[in-house]
Parts: sequence; C-alpha cells; structure tokens
Amino acid sequence: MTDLYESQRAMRNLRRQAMQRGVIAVMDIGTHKVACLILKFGASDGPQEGFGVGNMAGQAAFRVIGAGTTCSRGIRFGEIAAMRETERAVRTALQNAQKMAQTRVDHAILTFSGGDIRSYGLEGNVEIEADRVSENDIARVLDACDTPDIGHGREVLHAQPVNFVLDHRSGLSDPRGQAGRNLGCDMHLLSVGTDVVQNLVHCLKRCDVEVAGLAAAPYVSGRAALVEDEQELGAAAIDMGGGTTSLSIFIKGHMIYADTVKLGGDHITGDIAKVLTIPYSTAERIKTLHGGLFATGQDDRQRIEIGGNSGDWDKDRRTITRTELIGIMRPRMGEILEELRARLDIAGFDHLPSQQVVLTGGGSQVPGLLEMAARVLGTQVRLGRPIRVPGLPQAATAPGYSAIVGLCQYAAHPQDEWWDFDIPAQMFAARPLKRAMKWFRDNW
Amino acid sequence: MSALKSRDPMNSARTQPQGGAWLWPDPQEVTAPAVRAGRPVRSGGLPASGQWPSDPPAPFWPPAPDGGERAPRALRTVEPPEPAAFEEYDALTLPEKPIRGTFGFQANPGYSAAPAQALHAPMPGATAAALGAAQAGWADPVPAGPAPSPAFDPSPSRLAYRLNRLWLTPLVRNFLRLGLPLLVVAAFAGAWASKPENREMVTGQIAQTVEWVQNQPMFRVTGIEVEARSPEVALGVEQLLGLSFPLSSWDLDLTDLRARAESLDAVERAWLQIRSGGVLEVRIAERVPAMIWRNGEVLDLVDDEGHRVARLATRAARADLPLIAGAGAPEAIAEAQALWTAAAPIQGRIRGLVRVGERRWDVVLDRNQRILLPETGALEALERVVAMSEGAQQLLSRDVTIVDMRQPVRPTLRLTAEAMTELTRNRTETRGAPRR
Repeated sequence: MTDLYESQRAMRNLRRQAMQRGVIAVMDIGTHKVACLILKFGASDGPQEGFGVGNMAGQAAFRVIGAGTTCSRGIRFGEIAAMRETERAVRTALQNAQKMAQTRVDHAILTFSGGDIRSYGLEGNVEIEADRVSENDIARVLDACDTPDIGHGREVLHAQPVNFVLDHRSGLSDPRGQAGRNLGCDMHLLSVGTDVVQNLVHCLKRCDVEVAGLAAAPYVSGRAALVEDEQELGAAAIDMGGGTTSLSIFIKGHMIYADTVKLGGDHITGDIAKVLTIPYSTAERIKTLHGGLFATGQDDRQRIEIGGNSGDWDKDRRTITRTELIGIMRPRMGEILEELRARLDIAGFDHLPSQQVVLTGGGSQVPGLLEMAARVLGTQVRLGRPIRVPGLPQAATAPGYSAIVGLCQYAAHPQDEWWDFDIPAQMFAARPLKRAMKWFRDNW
Repeated sequence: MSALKSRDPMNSARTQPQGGAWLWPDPQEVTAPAVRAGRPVRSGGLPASGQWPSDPPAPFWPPAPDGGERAPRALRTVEPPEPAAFEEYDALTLPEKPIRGTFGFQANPGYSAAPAQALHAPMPGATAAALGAAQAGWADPVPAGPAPSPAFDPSPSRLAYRLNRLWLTPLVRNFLRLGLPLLVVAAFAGAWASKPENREMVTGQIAQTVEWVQNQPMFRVTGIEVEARSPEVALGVEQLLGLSFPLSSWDLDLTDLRARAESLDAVERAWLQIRSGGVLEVRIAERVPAMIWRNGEVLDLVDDEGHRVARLATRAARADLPLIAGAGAPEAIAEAQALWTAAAPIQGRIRGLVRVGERRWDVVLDRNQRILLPETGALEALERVVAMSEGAQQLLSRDVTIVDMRQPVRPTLRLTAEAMTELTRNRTETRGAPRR
C-alpha cells in the first residue's frame, strides 16, 4: 500500500514538474486508435475564470497545441497484446503530435480501458483529535478506510474520497475546519491488473516518455461527456470503444462506480466479416458507411456492393441489402447493451435519483443506437460528445475522443485522491524525531 | 520506345516525372509495372498494420484477366457520400494521397482527364509482343526494380523517432540552426585570417578603398583664400600653413591648422572653413598694435594685451604709438596705457615709459627729465606731477632732472647742477651770508 502511495506521489510530482515546464502529453491507448494530444499550460487565450465566467474546472489553464491519431496495433480489449506493435503506434501518434506542436514532450498521462477494472466502495470512521477537523484528521480517516482484498496482482488506480460524514451530517465535500467529533468518509476505489499497467508504462518508457499519471478510461470519458448537472444529479457515461465498452456512474460530481464490458465495435465488425466472409477492413468500411440498427422498408431496396478480390467473380460481385447488414449488427449491439444493463443493475443504478445515460465513444455513432439503448437502458438516453477545450482540432471533437478530452481535464484539474493527502503523523518518520527533540529539550 | 523505356528499372516506379508534365500516354498504363515473379504485390484479406481498417482495400496488381480490376470502380459508383462523422473521424491522420499500390482505384488527374480509348490505343513504337503482354495483363517476366512492400508502415523507426525528438529539443535545435553555422563561418574566417598575407591583403584593400573615397572630386581642396586686414599677415599665414594643393579635405586637420595660424603673433583669431568649390577659406582677426616696446636692441609692436604683434624697423614708422621699454613692460601694459592717458597734457614731451625692475614705471621726458612713479598709486602720482606741471608752478618747465614720486607723501626733485648752484647762491644772498 505504501509502495503504491509512493509511486502515485512520484507520478503526481512528475505531473507538477511537467506543468511547470508547460508542456505535457495526454494519450489514449485504445483498441481502435491511439490518440495523443499535447497540452500547453499557461498559454490559453480563451475565457478566463472569474470575469463573468464560472468555474471552468481548469480548462482555462491549458491549450491543445498538438494532436496525433493513428490506428492502434497490437492492442486487444484495451490491453497490450504485442508490445512492439503498440510501441510503433504510440510512436506514430506521439511524433505526429510533436510535429504539430513543434515541441518535444517528456511526460505523458495515460488512459486505458483494459485491465479488468473493478470498483469498490470503502468507508472509514475516526474520532477527531481537536474540536475542529484538520488536514491530519482527513488523512487519518482516509487511512482508516478498511481496504478490501483487491486480489493478487492488482493495483489501486483511483482512490477518491467521494463523501464525508461529520457526526450526523452527510454529503460534506470539504469538512476541514468544521466542528464535530466523529469524522467518516466514503471512498471509491478502482483497481486494475498490475501487469496491464506495467506493460503500458514500459511501452511508454520505450518511447522515451515518462508516465506522469494514469487514469481509467470510463472515468475520464465520463468527465468529458457528462455535463456538470449530470455529474451532480447522477448519470452513467457509457464509452463504446473498439474492444471494450466501459461504464462509469457519477453522482455529486464524483465517480462512484466504473466497469468495463469486453465487447465493442470491433466485435460488430468481426460479426460482419464472418457472416459475409469478407475481409475485416471491408467489413469495417461497410459498417461505418452503411451500418444501422433499425431496418426500414427502404433498407430492403438499398443494395450494398461488398466487393472483394478473391478472384472468384461471383463472390466478388455479391451485394447485400442494408437490412441484412442491420440484421448482423443488431444482435451484437443488443448483447452489448444487455451486458451494460446487467452491470448497471449490479451497481444499483436504479436507485439513483436521476437515471440519465450518456452514450459516447466511437461505437455510439451507429445510427439508431439511441432508440435501441433507450429500450434497453431506460428512457433518459442521449448521445454525448466531449466538451470543448481550447485548441482542440475539429477532427478530435468526435465522440470517439471523449476519453482523451476528459484526460485533458483530468490533467488540468485532477480530483483529490487518497494519496494527495499526507500520511497521518503517527505513521510518519517525523514522530520519533519529534520525540527525540522533546527528550533533548527536557534533559538539557 | 516507350515500351522499352518502361522496362528500365529506373522508370518503372509509377511516380510523377521529375519537374515536368505527365508523359501521355503514360507508358506505365499500357505495360504493367514489373512484379517479382511468383509473388503477388498485395494479398487481400487482413488490413495491413498501420492502415485504418476502414480504409479502402488496396487493389492488387495485375488485374484478373476477366476484368477483375473493374470491380472497385463499380463499387465506387454506388457509394453514397460519406457521412460527415466519418470524415471528421479520419481527417486527423488519413493521408490525402493513396499511400502505395492503389493503381486502379485512386485515379490520378492525368489519367481521368484523358479520353478513355487512349488507354488501350496502341502506342507508337510499342512492339506487338509488349502490347500483347500488356493487354493480357501480365508483365514481362523480367524482374525490374524493387517490388513495393506489401504493408506500408507509417510508424517512424526508433532511430527516426529519437532524431525527431532531438530535433525538437530547443537547445539542440537552436544550436544546429544558429550556433553551428556561425561556428563554421567563424572557423573558416579564422583560418583564412590566420595567414599574414591575407590580413595584409585586407588592410591593403581597406586602405586603398579609403584612399579612393578620399580622393573623390567632391573632397578635393584646390586652393587657399586668406582674408586678413593686411596683406603681409595674409601672406604670412599662407606661408605658415604651408599647404601644397590639391589635397583631400580628409587630410586637412582644421583644428591643427587653426592652431598653426594662430601661432603667428599678428593673428588674434583665425576661422577656417572648407568652402564649396574646394577652397580652404581662412579668416583672420589681426591684433591691433597699441604700443611699441623697445626690447633690447629691437622694437616690437604690442597690442593692448601686451602680446607681441610684429617687429618694427624704426620708431619713426609708427610715431603715433607710445613707446615702452624695460623688461616686463608688456605685462603691465594696461597700467602703461592708463598712465599714457593721464599724461595727456604733457604727451608731446613724453619720450616713453620705462619699466624699472619689473616693479614700477618711469616716465621719460625730453630734456632728460624723468618722473619716477611709485609701485602703487602710480596714476595718482603722475596726475599730481601733471597738475604741478600745468598749474602755476610749471614744474616740468623748470630746471628739474628728476621728479621722484616714489614716496608719494614726500615728492623729491633733483635739479640740474646749474640750478643747484644758482639756488645756493640765491639762498646765500638772501641770508646775507659771506661768500667763501
């Protein structure tokens, strides 16, 4: 636990260092694409906070000066399957972004959706030392949270205090300085497989870039795709990626649940390729251009040339109707949505006051998904695009870029995590030193 | 000829001709590009790594004999316009041009603008065998040139990536773009200048250029023009300056020339100016002689400040000026002038003023008379003498040799010997003393 604390603190220091230097890269290593944005801090010419402009959550602090995207290679289900290939893809994206920004970056913040994300809710309770809550009390209550057994080979990715309870008052966001006796805390903990993270860090290290932070893709895409009201009132953000579909639930501005389904747009493409016996690339193209989820009478008449280069004339001349294509895509999408429904039920999404569902990610662009998701997930469904940040290229405003845009926000305005508070003084080495000083003073 | 040319390995790559228009008809269109025997250029199926899966599949070459190459075109005709989302999605990194090997699919502009039948028109000079091979869709089995690699990899190599990052490092970049060229230039310049003959050449060149510029007609001074009251002084100044014309105005040091001109005693002040037309104009303010100073054996004119003006040959040449004599007389010339003015009633009798011991003045009159004046209060003493001389006493008309006013409270007279004798006799007679 201390080891993790140290490593997360080291990453936080790297992040601060990079921000002082002014340039940091954010990278989304996904199954379908590897995207990289380069942020410049302290150079935004956009609106500044404070003059008729509300809280911008740090967005006014930075500007995107470089962007690079490439199709990802060697990645399955958001995890690295072929290190060299992934490294090439990361290099391509980084070099394109650096070329656009005309600067080199040495620090990168990563987001990824693999690693079998599991979320835990923890709670802790302490008597406070003085009559008012101090920083040390916060650290103690965070430390008092009972750590669940997250399993062997797993690591804590996020540990965010989401709620504080002081005596009988709950829902406090910042209890410091308040009078009370008993301080309680709810913490949301997200764990991932250590190996997945290690692989990503190693891959970035091979590209001469230091990892200055890690964030789970559902968390950051939720930050980008949900508007502030939805984050406050409660909403679920569903990021439909290529290899995974991830899900995060927000309430009162904090993420309280995150999960991933190992199904995504690539599976739909695979279905099309298998059913029609066409190359994967052709299937992807047909899906992107003609795909849909609700068939109408007109779709029976619209014939799609499949094409092919097998040399067999009859095979290469085949056409299908759009209805057939929809018939291939629909069951798989239904499966994904059912899985999501199950995860939402596990999380107790039904009990939230507001049941807004926001679909984002590249897979959410399938026509008709809104209606289909509304049937499965509930009535309040909308498609979400990432929030606009200064300098973001037009090409990166598509729903597929929610995670990386959210990562920009995360870099500029990170949420307090457990390791952002100091270790309680009892555990700290300063205590024996203090005792020695006291002994010295008493005896001499 | 074109068919032969197409077999040339250097020309087999289907690229735009360097710096020129397209060859038309394109020889490459008729004869298929060379393929390595036994290996298709592009195998369909899985997408190449580094290519978006949704990219159009790269058609393979050679086309199937039964017209398989028409298939992609047929597909193109029924395609609806692509949704905007797709364009946005891919616009970030999709290359604008086809990467490689898309021969039949992405038509180049020259290709599509041409009439269709020109594609299959026999080319002048093409051999029947080559044409037949071309129309059959098979190339000559001659291996020519490197086959394009089946999978295009857009990712930079590790080395290229590192070099790129190095290039984007500000320090390295500034050094390479500014520091290194400066260093190289400085090194070459230093090596060149380290040879003495090169340095001499440079200094020689500079001197030559300076001389050439200074000798331009606009800088040439051809004469001198001295304006003075007296022609003697003008001539003297001209000779003193000793300039030989023509010369360049760059060589004239006017301050120095002015000092030289003013070193002439008769010149009080000189103004020098190089006038247009290449004339050095010298205007002279001369000293005005106020007195004559007998300096030993010679006579010098001095002005009212006591400065020597010129040598005087004879006293008679300037009989209008008073004469002073004695060492240190010019230094006290202001007092001499005051005395001269005060002595206006007896001016006709004054032969000169003599400075005695550089302390006091004597006024020397004719008839060997002399008025000795004190060091201080000489003017008042002289006025008293003049008053005694002009009044009833007629002092100076008498038989007096020296009027000694050196003690102003006790003026003393020295009489001539005869006057003394007469005075003694008179006194004796007056007292009735016996004659001795």
